[in-house]
Amino acid sequence: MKKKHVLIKDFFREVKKSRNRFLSILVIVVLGVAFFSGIRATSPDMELSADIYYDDANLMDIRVLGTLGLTDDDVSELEKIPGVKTVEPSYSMDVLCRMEDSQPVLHLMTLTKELNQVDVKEGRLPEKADEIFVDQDFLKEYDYKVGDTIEVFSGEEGTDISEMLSVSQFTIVGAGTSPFYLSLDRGTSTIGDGTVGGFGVIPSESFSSEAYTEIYLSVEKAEEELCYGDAYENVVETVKNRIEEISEEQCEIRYADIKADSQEEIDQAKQEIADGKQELEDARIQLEDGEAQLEEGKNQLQEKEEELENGKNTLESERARLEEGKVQLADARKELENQAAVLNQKKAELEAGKQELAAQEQKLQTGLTQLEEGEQQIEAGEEQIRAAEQQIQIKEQEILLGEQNIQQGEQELAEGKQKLEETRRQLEAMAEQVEDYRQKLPVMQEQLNQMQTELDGHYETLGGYEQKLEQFQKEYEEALQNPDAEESYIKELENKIKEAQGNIADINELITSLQDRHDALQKNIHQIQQEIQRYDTAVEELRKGEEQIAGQEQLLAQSRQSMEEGKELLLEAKTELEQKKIQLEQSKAEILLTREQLNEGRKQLEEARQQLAVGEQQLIQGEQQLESARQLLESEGKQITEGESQLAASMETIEEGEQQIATARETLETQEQELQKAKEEFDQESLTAQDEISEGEEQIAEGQKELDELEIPTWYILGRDSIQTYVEYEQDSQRIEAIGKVFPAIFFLVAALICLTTMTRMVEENRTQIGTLKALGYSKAAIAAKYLFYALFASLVGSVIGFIGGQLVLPVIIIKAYGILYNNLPVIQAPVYAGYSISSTALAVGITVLAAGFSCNRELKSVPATLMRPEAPKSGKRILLEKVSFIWKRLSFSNKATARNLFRYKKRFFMTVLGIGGCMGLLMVGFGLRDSIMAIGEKQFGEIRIYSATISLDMENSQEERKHVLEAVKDDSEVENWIEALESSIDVGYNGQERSSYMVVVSDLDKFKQFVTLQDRKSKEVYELDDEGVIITEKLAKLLDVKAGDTIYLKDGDSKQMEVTVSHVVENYFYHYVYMSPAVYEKLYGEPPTYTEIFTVNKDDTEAFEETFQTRYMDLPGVLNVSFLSTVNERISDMLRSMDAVIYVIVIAAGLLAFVVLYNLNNINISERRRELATLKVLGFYDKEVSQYVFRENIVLTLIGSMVGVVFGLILHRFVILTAEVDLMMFGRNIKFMSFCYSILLTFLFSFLVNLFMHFKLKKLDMVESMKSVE
Amino acid sequence: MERATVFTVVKVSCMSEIVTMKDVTKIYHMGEVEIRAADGITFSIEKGEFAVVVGPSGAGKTTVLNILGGMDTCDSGTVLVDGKDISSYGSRQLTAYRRDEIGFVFQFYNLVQNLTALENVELATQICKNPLDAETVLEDVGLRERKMNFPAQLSGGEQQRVAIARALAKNPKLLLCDEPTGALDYLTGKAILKLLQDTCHEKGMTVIVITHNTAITPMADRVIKIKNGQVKSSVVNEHPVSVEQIEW
Repeated sequence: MKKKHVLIKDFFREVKKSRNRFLSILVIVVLGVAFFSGIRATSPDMELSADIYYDDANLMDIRVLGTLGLTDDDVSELEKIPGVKTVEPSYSMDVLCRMEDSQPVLHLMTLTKELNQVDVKEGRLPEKADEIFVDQDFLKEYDYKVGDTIEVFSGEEGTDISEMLSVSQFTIVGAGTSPFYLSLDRGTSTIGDGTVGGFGVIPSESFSSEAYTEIYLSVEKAEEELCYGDAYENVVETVKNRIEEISEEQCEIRYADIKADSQEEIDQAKQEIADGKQELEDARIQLEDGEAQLEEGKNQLQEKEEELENGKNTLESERARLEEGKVQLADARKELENQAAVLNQKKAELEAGKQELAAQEQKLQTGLTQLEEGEQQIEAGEEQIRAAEQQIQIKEQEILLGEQNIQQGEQELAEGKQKLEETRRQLEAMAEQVEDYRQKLPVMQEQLNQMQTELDGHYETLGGYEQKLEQFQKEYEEALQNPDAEESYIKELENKIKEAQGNIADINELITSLQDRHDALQKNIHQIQQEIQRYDTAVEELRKGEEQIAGQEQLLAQSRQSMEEGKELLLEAKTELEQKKIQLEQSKAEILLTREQLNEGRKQLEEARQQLAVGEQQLIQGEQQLESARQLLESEGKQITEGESQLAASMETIEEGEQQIATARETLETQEQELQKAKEEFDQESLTAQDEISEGEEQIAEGQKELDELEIPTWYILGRDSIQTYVEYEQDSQRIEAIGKVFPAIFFLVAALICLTTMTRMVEENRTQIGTLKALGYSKAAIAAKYLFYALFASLVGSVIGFIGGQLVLPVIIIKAYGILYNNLPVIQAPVYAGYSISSTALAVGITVLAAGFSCNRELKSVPATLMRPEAPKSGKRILLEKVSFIWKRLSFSNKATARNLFRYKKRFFMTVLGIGGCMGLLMVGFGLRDSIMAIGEKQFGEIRIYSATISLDMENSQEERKHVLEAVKDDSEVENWIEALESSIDVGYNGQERSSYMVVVSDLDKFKQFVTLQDRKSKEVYELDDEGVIITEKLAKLLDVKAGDTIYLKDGDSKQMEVTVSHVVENYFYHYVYMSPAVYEKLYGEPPTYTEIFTVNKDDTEAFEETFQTRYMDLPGVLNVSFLSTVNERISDMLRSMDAVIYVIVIAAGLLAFVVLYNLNNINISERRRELATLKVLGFYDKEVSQYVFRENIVLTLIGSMVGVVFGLILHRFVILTAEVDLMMFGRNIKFMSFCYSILLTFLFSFLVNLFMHFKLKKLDMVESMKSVE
Repeated sequence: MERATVFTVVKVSCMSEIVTMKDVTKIYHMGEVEIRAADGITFSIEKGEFAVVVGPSGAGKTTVLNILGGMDTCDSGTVLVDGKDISSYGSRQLTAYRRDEIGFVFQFYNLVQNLTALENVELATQICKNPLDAETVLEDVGLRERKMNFPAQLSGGEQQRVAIARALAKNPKLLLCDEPTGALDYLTGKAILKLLQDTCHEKGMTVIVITHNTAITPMADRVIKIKNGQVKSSVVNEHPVSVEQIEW
């Protein structure tokens, strides 16, 4: 228990954590279930809504019509039948309303007490005979209000309203709806414009006929059943059969009654006719007298007229002459005018000439001025050249001088060089000596130094001696003084002194000689030093001199160069000057030429001026001539005017005469007219009388015959399926049902795939956890339970929301859309059906849980160790495209990555393509459905049935009336073309199947092409009717499975089957037709066809035009009805309008589908690649670039998906069309180009929206994801 | 006053410090709990240094990395990279910063599985301003022969080499490595560290390695120790040793 508890906790946390994933499963399940249950429930909801209304209004279950009317006896007999709940007799008839600008048909019905209760929306029900309750749509359409009075009259020729109604003026007391009419369509009528404008309900006492038109019955237990179901049919059918049983007996009773009454009437009529014949005879005698008197008056008038004729003739010849004169005058005047015009032109030309002359002169003048300027310029140029030449001369002289200077300098230089050379030679000679000196000098110095040292040594010795001497002397002195001194000692001292003195002298001698030698050496050295110094200065001087010379040489070279340059410049200047001279010469020549030209121009001008003068003179003469001519003309004109006035006077006299005659004639004519009128009146009266008489006789005869032939009446026992609305409504409901079989399937398929991918992803993400749990020892079931419950929970909640929402909302939307057609349906019931709810929920939950189980199972098979390791990332793979290197090389880097990614995630690839394809396909079906229905109107009435109107003739009418109508059509300028036709209902059978269709036989096969196009839908090959077989329409052929060449049979009412070959099958979208030539008809029926209709092609098809056209022909006797193809076309347009709402539903559904699929897949894609995308962000991809990296794949997928969607859409569209089609019509098979465009655009829009949404999600993606390890 | 100090810091950093973090704080709010992931972190790294930011799990290493890598912003403080204050950057500027100035090496290589080694490098070079030639860089990291292989066909070490090549090919100012050896075995990890150290020394690239592995600190020029959202020490290692000589 504890274990479960933890897992349950984990489960709810998982749901909370992965809100988006949970929601996306939930939403797709909601969508799938809502569409599945909602659209499927629509059809039963429609029928239920109608059933509730019918039950509330107590709509009759059966109605009995009798060919000879019904009686109270019938009513009481019907009441006795078991199973019959209520019986109510009723009258009904069509009348016309008298209005100012139109005469709408009103279908009058009896106010029944229990059955067919009208729904009072305004006012109340009628209580008195002159009160009426009317259709609220009629009230709106024809602008009546409650309280207004409405006047009705019979629409049939010769029938008085009073025969049918006791009252003809009614007060409107209320308005509302009737269960007979759910839609706007009120059916057709044989009177008025052929369409019923609305119904009116009046009390039964307002009707004056004795026999009831119909009897309504309701059946016991029928109310409990759904009206469109089989159970209902069975209940009603039983009662119908019972009525059938008593019908024969009742008819015979009725027959006997009528026969007796009629015989009485006939006898009375015979008497009346005899009286009439007598009256006619009296009138004829009076008329004959009047005729004789008139003849006399006519003769007198004849004579007078002859006289007048003579006078007129003379006058005529006079007038002719005058007329001739006038013509001549006019001619002359015209010529004069021409001449004046010519003159004017000449004048203008002259003027132009003058102007041109002036212009030329001006030009000449300017030319001259320019010429002068040119000459001046030339002069100035010459001056310049002269000055330049002078300058050149000066320069030349300067150059000459410079050259001389240079030569002199060169000479001096050469001398200087020579001197230098000499000095150098001397120096070189000395150099050896000096070098010798230089080497000796240090030796000598050394010697000198030695001597000095020696000398110094001598001096030192000398010093020593002298000191010794001094000491000896001092000692000697002391000894001398000292008395104690021994003699010897003194002697010795004296010797010593002497010896020292001698020594000193020797040394002094030595010193002196040495000193001499020393001095000599010193002198020598000094001399040598001086010598060397001299040499050095000389060398220095030489160097300086050489430098100087070099400097001078350089200077000289420079001046030479500048001289050379000067020379060159001079040469150039000279050449330039030469050129300038030539130019000047040329200009001079030009100027000369110009002057000549100018002179010539002046001459020409002079000539022109003379010519102009001559022209002017001529012009003046011409003008004078013209003036005189004009005067001449003026006088002639005056003469003619006089002649004319004379003529007018004589004319007046004649006119007077004529008037007199005219008055005389008038009197005669009035008299004649009176007589004529009288005659006509008589004729007419007698004719009508005769007619009446003969008619009466005929009628009597006929009546007698009819009476004799009077068949026993029959009863028609009809159910609700005889009510147009009732049947149409059922067909629409079935159409929705058919669509409901297809679309939900698509949604379910997509939903299943989405659930599968989402659950797989979830399990993959939880891989580690699964591994851990498995390692911990949880059982497979316990682990899988989480995911199964997740799927179960999501799909169950989704399903509940889906089936409740879907069944409550979708049917209402669709029925409301149909409500445009069925506006009278008061309530819409949209209950939640257990069957649809359970089946859709089971399907959704089953698929989702299976998907979860499937993906779980795969993971659970692995051992925990494998599971705990991260799943090896899908290896990148080379794709096939890389082998096509010429394409691969051209792809940009990012395109390469996109291409690889596309093929890497194959599941996503297929899912997205499928989702987008589904969306695109749905859109195409939506738009294509519209195209197909539109094709009915466009093709049926734009290409196939291209005539405008059908005039139906009364089958019973006389040959004369028919001719009359034909005559009128022939003479009608608004009818472009017409043809006679026989159109009648017929059953066509083949291989056991039968379908009712229209047989069309036309009088003129060639002309027929302009009315109906008989062509093959695909090849557009046009066929013609021949005398062998019939041509049938495509849908009929398809329903019967007939091909060209097969033999079908035709059955007309109870007649036997007539075999005929089908020669061709033709394109047709509305009703079924069997076209045949008169010859084939004759072959089949044994008699030539009696044409009952005239097809016309009119000039116009506006409503106003058709209304007048209709009234014009309806007024003609023998015309039963005039109907227009545009009316049928309008009805189809109405149907289309209701289709629009269905298309919106489909478009929204497709959008939702695309969004959910793309969102989901993108979500999975991003979550799978979160690390990769975060890495891109860390690498520095901008948000836009990251989005592009992902979206590039989406765009490619959307493109591929769209392409798949086109194919899918085409197939689905074909399927839906074939399913939704009712037997009576064929929808167009093609989808228009624009619909493809819309579908693709919308698909891309949806895809774009999802991408936009994802962009923000990507923006929020945390870069820290990139740090995480692989999960 | 504070302004003035900041200015002086700027001046100093201009000399040779390529990264300077000053008083950087980052607080995460996890519901009611407030986590101070960075609590006044201050350090600087000089150009061309091989710096190791080390610390235990949860110390704030990754926060530093995120802020330095321009993947996250700090709540207060200044982050100067090459003289520019990236802490004031908006998200677009940060993207441009990551694009042109940062090379990033992840623990789990983060190669795009669907692109070959060469293409993975090109993924980076196609977006930045002056990239190096992708093939040359791949050859430099020793993957010349394997450039046409998909990541799944490469070993972990090879994949990390591709990742390093991808970071280097952008010619960044900074190479940020988040536990580059975390998913590798010992020997391969060493080889990768060697590659990073060589890149740093040979190319003068500033490399910042973020790791919890203190054993590798001897090889760094600078070791920054982080604990509890604060810098515990930032020491310049005078004698860094080669990778081969360290063991862990």
